[in-house]
Amino acid sequence: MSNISQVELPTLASFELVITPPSSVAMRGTIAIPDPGLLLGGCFRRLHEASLADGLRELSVDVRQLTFVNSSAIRLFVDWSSWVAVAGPQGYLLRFRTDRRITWQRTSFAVLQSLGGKSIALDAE
Amino acid sequence: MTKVDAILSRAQAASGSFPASGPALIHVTWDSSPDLEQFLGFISAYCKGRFSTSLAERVTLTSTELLDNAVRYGSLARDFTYRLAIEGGYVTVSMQNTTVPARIEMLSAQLRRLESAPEQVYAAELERSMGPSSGRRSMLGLARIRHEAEMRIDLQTEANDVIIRAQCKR
Repeated sequence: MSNISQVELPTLASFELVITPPSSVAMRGTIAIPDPGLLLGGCFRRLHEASLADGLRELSVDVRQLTFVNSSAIRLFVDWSSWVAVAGPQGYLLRFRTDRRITWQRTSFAVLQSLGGKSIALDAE
Repeated sequence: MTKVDAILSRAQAASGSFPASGPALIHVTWDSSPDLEQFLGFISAYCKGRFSTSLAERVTLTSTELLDNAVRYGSLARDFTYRLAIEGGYVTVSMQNTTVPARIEMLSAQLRRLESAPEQVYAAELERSMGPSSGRRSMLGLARIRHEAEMRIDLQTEANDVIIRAQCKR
């Protein structure tokens, strides 16, 4: 059994995270709680570590149905991007699937990609 | 809304159209800590029913970030006043809360910097978000309002209160 399939999912009424092994994650809903890092940061970190442990070459994170996040939640994606960047060649490609009609996705992920370099890919639909 | 005194202008709600100027469409006060998710649901639904998709998204983002900032940085962690209005063809979102003079000075400086280069400041704030979360006191929320929502932001003071206003054409 893959490590990523064993990552415990967070419980947040407005937010859903679905893991489809071996290498896909989808997020839906909204994140507007004051400190999302407390509830979601650990899960994101475990997804990252599981991806490394599974030896993934690429992880797809589909956020097209994540319609709103506050600035604290954007930091979760910034953190994830920085972990992948630090992992370097031993890591994996973090591919975000985004919807360019959703403003926060269009603006945030373009910057994240420039910060994350070759570790981050963007599929903007 | 629990713990919230929400007053919708009944006349405007009934008319189905906005006046060029007038009283607030929404005026909400909190005397205890707001439920941010509840507020997001409320304001998002209201804006979707009143504005174009794009404008609704911008106003929702602005409203949520202003309240989040007030909760995070207000000196009392309560006594917030939110206002949404149409004034002279502009949509204005404002948030009033108690703060300290040092915070007002810092906000003024941040807004000047943000106004001079919204996109660059936005990117810089995202970059600054990288790393340990302790001690972060960023202006990413305001940067999002200026860059993502494309709102002009200004700041007023009343005694110990700060009022941040964000405005865009309707």
